[in-house]
Amino acid sequence: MTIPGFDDFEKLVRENQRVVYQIALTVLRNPADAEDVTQDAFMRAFAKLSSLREPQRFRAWLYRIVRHLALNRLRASTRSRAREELASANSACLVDVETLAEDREFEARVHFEISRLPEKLREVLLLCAIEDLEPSAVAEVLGIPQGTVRSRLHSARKRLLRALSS
Amino acid sequence: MSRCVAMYDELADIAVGGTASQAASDHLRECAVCVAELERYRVLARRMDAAVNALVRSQPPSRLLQRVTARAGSAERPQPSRGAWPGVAVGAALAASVIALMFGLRAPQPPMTPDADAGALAAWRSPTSALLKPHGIVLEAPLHDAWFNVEPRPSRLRTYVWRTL
Repeated sequence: MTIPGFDDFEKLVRENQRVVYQIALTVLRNPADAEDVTQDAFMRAFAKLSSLREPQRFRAWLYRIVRHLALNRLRASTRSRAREELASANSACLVDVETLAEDREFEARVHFEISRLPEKLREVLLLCAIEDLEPSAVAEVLGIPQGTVRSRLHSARKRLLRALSS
Repeated sequence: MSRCVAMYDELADIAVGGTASQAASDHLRECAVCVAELERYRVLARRMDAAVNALVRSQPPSRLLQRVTARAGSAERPQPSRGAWPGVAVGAALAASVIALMFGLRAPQPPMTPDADAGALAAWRSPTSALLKPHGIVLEAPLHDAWFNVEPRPSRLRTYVWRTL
């Protein structure tokens, strides 16, 4: 039996998995949880795919689903706060130990200062950092105007910079 | 110098892409300290952005696609359709149980006949023999009168039954 739309779905997963995963990661800040939520979001999207009236809005719809699920997971999980082992896997370049330590320290400080930002600013800052996620898409995910996204992003970066420079 | 300190907030604003006011532009033209500070802010802002990007731009695990498609494939597999009838049957059974409880429905008893009554009466045995059996300890040994703190009597009691409660 052929599964209607299954091939299309696989393509959609392939194309969107990175952004969906990163949105989950911005909320949850834990790779394992982000992976779970990403899977759940795709499964939910798959179940409702036929009822989507505007296929061109699939991405925004999917992004909202993953954000919603991630927020639910975050609220439900009391462990998530304790886990602060964040993405340091990208620093696979050849640097000396001192530089590496300094970078790690700086990253840790950035993470700490981000966690101290107000929720609204933090969310916009992290979502806007996702590659290929335009401010218009961020606005759609959060359900706020684009101008608000821009002003919040500016405020977030400025506050973060001030905090890091002190 | 106090003017420079007051300027720092605006310098941070400029460093993250804000537009410099006329006053800030004028000040930067003549203050090397603030120019250096602005440059420091800009360098810091670049590092900050890189750190934020590194935080967010982790790649999803390679197994993710495989897992999602496997789950979707198993979810898509057609389930045997049971229709609405099993639900109706369960509901009817529940309703029948409730009605049976309400009306005290019991298993039908065999009809009683006079002969059966007589037979049942003849078969009946009184439980008195079992009920009248002494409930206690029978002592075969004689009891000493001293136990009762009374004068000895000519005839000794051979057997006492102590009823225990």
